[in-house]
Amino acid sequence: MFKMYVYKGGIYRHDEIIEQIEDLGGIIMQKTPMQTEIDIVFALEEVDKEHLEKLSKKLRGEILDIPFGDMEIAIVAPSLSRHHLPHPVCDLSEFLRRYGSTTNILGLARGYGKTIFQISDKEKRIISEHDAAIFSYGIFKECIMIKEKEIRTLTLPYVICGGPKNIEGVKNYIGNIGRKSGRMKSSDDIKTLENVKNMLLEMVDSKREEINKDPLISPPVYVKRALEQQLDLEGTLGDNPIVLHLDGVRVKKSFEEYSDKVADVKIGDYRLGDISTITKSNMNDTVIVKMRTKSEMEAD
Amino acid sequence: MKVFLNSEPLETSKDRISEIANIEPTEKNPIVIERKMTRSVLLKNLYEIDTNKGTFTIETFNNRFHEFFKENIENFKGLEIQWSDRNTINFGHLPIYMESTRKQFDYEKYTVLLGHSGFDKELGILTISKKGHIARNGIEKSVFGKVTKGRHVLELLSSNDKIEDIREVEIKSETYEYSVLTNDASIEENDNIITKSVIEIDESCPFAAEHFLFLTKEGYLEIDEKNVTYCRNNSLKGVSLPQEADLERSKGSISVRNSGKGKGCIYIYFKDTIEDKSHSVIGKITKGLELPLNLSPGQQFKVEPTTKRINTLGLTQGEAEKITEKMGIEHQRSGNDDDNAIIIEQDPEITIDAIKAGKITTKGVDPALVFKLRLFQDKAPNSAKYFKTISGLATRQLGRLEVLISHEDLDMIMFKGDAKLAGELAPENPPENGSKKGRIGITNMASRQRGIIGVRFNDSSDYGPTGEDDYHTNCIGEIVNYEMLRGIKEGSTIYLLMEK
Amino acid sequence: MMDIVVRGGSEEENESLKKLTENTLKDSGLGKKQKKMVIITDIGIPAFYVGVKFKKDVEPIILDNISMIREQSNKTRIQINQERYYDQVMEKLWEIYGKDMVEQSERNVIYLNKKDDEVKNIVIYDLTEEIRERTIDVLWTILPEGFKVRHFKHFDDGFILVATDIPQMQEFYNTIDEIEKEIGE
Repeated sequence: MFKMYVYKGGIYRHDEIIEQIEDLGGIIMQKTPMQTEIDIVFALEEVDKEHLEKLSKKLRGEILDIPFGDMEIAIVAPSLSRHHLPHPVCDLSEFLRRYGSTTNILGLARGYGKTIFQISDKEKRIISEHDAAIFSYGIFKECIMIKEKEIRTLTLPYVICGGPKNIEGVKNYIGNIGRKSGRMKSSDDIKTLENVKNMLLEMVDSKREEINKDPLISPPVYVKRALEQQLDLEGTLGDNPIVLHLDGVRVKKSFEEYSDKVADVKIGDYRLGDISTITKSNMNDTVIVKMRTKSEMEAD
Repeated sequence: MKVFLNSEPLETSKDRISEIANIEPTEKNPIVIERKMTRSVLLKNLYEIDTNKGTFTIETFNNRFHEFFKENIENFKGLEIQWSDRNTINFGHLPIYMESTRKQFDYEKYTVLLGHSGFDKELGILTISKKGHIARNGIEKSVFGKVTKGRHVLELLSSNDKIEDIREVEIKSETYEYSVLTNDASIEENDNIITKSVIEIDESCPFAAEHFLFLTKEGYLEIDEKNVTYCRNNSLKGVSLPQEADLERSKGSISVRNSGKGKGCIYIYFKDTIEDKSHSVIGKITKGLELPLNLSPGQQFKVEPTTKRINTLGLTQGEAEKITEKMGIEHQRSGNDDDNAIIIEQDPEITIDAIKAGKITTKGVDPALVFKLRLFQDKAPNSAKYFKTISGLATRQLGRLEVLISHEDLDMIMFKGDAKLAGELAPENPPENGSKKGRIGITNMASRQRGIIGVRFNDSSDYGPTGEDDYHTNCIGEIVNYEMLRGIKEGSTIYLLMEK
Repeated sequence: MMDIVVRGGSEEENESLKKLTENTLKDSGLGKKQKKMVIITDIGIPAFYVGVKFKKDVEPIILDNISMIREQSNKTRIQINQERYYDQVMEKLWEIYGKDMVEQSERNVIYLNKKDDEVKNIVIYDLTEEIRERTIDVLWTILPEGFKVRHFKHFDDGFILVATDIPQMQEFYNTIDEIEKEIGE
């Protein structure tokens, strides 16, 4: 099973790292050169990390785990307003991005208030397209409890953040966040962010284990590489038109234009359309590709 | 006693390897003995449940409900679905004499549990939860497993579907023990003596395959580097290759790197890995993968490709005819077609292309233009590498050089080199006590005329084979029949063969 | 710093809200302008009550403070010393006397076509009003977003506000009176 890592080191001789990753059967996801330094994000099987570290040590670089590197996480705020952004929502988002994830900040249309709070079905569907979600609520216990009830039906791993230290009856809760007037940069704040990350990591790890037991027909990182090589994806905002999910990918292109092209991409001996389900996203006209499992394919 | 030689059974009265396999293992050329050790290990609690709509697998954990399931497994076979709704599927009925309860519990998705229909112990049921839900199932906390594989089958099941079979998936591990032997030794009954690796060559990457066949033309492959995923040979590192088909590198695959710093290196893979454009897969080890798996860097092992290399460069036309006849390939002569003419070109040169075409055309030249040489590989490794690259001896058994300067009054002959490549050629192995006749010298990077190759016909105390002094000359080898070089005209080509 | 009191929720919640209020006021530069602030949270209803009293030394600026006033024949000569108030002075004079009575001969000199003793007491700039507006603005970012149903009771040097996310009830008005007594003088 592929895991995501990032190599941080000098530009000099970084081509040797790239060659070594290719030799070991890994996939280079992204290269970010910055003057004399370079960040290389790649996927590799865990057993091979040790051998790569020998080379990395020689070149005075380091290899870091980015456990959320193949995930898209939704950070949900009651609304997009001064009350919730930038603190603490953007702090949460930035912290998780350090561990590799692609984060989307979602503001609910009517997520504020106590009696008037609402979360619509469409919003729930959009959140469910992600691999995990973080809900950033306020400082009042009763309020958080009411809001938590509404999201219990969600099946993806989620963490609820709020002000009070503990709230009984609310699962997956991290306190000490709530409303902040400035950046979360004190050592206490960093510890709290670490707690959020650790809780999320635990939940994500068990989800990964489950996927491992009934493995996908092809790993998403491999599908991403095939899509990039076989389709022309120029012109998308940013240089990351394909976002990884634990069980597939999201292609940030119009569904009408691209769903057929995506389905025709060759993955090994298969055609992508035959080994996955391709649907239109509820969020911003993009293409969602969900891989089928090996046992599903064998049954056919 | 019965033993195996490369997995083929063999009856023998002998017990020493040298007597059975006709091989004496050494430190450099070891062999591997495979011995079977049976160890029966029950790794996990896995059950495959066959229904008329498909099979799903459950993973159980040890508790009394699992015990009940295991002991009464025969009674669970044939159970029909009594009812199903969006939350559960319920197979029944069979008696389950366990305490009944009316309490409600929170059941997670895909859990497997026991229950009572209508709280009646005679009407016990096997329930599979399709969604997380809260219900009362009749027996307290009776979850004993989870559906891991084939979850999609749960959606297909409805009334009157039934369990056709339940199989316990016990994983018995039969392990093999491998020992690497570097001397002769006795072996035991049923041991498998592994002395060679059989390689099936793939047609998809002809240039890379040729590269591999050239490297292993003596029949051996040495391991230079090794890790969990692959082992590597660096002998031909630096040789450029075109990019050919990119195929999956499955366990046992052999690939050649076609780009980057490591181009020309050969890799043998120990586990399945994905394809990459920089690797050309040339074939697979079908037998004897245990050799590279167990040997260490510095050791080499015998390889037997199923496709023999067809390369007649350096042989005579007559010899080539005999070989092609044996292989069943048509042979046509061109150029000098005398039986003793030395072949300098073969078309097609790549083995795989030659086999596909079914015929080869060989061009011959007068043997007077072919020279034997020895290289001082140990004393001048870098210069030898440069020489091999210029002459083509790096990738072929026949090299060639173009004469740059030759004159009847000149006591030496000089050949074209490559000034750019020689730009990194540092002084190495200078001539001692003057230059000897027949010695091959190269002008190194210290001089402007870098890269030129030359041979003297007479000893000289002042100048080297390229007319430079000792400091600017690298002495890399010698031509055996150098006298024959006299009289070769400027602009002509001479051919080189390494002395065997 | 000003005196902030928060009550009504659990100790944790009150502490959180108090910290948020302190930081936000400090960041907006209003910390020194208030004397006392009381916030009562009643999450059950839900409603928030806020009572604010400004510092007394926030006096309005009158024309006498910022200019030299001389009577010249039948006119009043006003020489404004502080550039930042030119606009406001003009506006105020126009408002009170009408545009045709006011003449600007030089950049900082205005002639009023009459004599008036009260000219020097004209309020040009009332800082208190500005403080009031700014404090109310800041309160919107302090209170939770959903509480958009609001009712004010203003005083000269402060105000009381109730905010809720449901339609109002009579209890609110009762509590307002209680608080008025509390923030007192």
